[in-house]
Amino acid sequence: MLHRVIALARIMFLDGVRRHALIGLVALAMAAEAFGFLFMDFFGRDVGRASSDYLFSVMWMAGLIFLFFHAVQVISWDEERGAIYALLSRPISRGEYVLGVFFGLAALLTALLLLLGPVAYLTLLWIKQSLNEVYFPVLSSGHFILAWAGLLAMQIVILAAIMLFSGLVRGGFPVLLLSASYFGICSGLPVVRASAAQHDGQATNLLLQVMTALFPDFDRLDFKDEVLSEVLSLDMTPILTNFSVLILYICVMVSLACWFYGKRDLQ
Amino acid sequence: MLVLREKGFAVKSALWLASVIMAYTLVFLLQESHVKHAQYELEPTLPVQLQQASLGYLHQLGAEMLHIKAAVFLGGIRSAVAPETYVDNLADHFDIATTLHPKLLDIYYLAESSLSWIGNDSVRRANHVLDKGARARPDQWVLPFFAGFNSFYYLKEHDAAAEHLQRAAAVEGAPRWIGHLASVIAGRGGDIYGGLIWLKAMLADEEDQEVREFYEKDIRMFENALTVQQALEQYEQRHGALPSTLDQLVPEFVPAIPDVGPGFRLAYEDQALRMVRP
Repeated sequence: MLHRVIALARIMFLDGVRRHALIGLVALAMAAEAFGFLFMDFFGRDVGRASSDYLFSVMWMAGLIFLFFHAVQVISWDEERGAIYALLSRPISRGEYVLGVFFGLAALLTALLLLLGPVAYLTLLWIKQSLNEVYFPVLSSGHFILAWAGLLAMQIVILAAIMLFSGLVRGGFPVLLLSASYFGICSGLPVVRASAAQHDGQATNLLLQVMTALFPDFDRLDFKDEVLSEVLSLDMTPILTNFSVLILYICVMVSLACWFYGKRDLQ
Repeated sequence: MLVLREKGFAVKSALWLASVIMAYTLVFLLQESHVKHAQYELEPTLPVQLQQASLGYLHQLGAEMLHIKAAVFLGGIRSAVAPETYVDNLADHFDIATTLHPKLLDIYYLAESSLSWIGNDSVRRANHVLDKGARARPDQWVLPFFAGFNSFYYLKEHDAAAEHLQRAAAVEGAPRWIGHLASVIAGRGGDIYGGLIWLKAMLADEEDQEVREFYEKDIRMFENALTVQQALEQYEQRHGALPSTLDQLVPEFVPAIPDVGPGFRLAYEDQALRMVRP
């Protein structure tokens, strides 16, 4: 089974790499990262922090564009082109097909962020070297990698949700709408929860806690504020717990996607 | 024949394209001549919860955009514009930006330089923003120092100023004189005990002999003032109210009102004993 999933993931990866739109996205994101040199000029004190925020924001936006303009359409493209029937006529199950697509897209997303991450780090390093220490005291590579890994984990969660919606409904646009709504709820829920914790009763807070299990709180993996911290002095237990929760969440979402796709009428 | 016809078509197409571009340029220039460059206004911001929910991972970038917007507005403002017309929106910008990204220092510097001089309300809003900064960036002595300066200079609230300055002095790397300043302002505000305790704590930590002597001199002055403070408290215990002048303490509670100079003089204002710079 594994070699069939890997083979399909490889096809998905190569298909994505050949797409001009994705090559353009990489070029645009790298140009936006280089724009960090201009963005830092708007700040007079915390130049390192502002530059780091900007570069992580560029990576986040590039990942979201990939997810909402490419990943949401992959399964529906296959269905429209009839490519999926060619794949399914071979000895590959629908679940293997979903897994193959998921791993292929996850590999593409990782490759995109692997290209942008070092460029962002080198840009930060260059900015740091061009400034007095007061304006950019520390650039912690350990924290940078942690923030990068957090960003990747969050976007793979969104990808897993896209796989689930692609398994549930037909067509790229409905998947886009569902995925955008899912992302909106994930972003807004922590704000509602923080507000409810101050005013509302136990029942509301319990309901919001259950909702957080369904729509994970991405803030828990946002470590970009720590990139300028002195040493890797974070308490690793909650960090590992947060990563573990998201990995298990991804497993649940992808398993559900496989199950629903296996049940769906493709005609 | 065919070649000539094709050449004629190409010339016509080029002429058509040139005339369309020329027409567009003329109409565009006409449109631009009617545009009046109005003063850039600072529009009200959306509520902070809405911004947090919509920005998500980009909340730090959102705060930085608000900072840039405020900086551009302040940079282009004309001197004839009354600050009262924009101060509320400006303070909202800083308040929301510091909620979205409490660690970014630039916002606090801009808030201090643009809000503190306008009026008492704006000073209080600047101090509210600076308090958030002091909590988010406990490594920065300058943020509580700004708040202390605002409380002392603009609001004339000496106790609050001393409290802010004591927080600034406690930050690692803060200049030593801030702690001394906090003691002096505490004395000015009527908190003789607070000022004395702070001076003694600073003396205990100080290794430089010259600075130690400086502190010891100030401690003697505060201790002299403290004898008067204690006499006031005894007077209040016995008579149920504070005296109207310090002379009423002599000789029953203190043999004489001590000299706390040369750096200070004792003042009895609003039924509080203060150490005032002469």
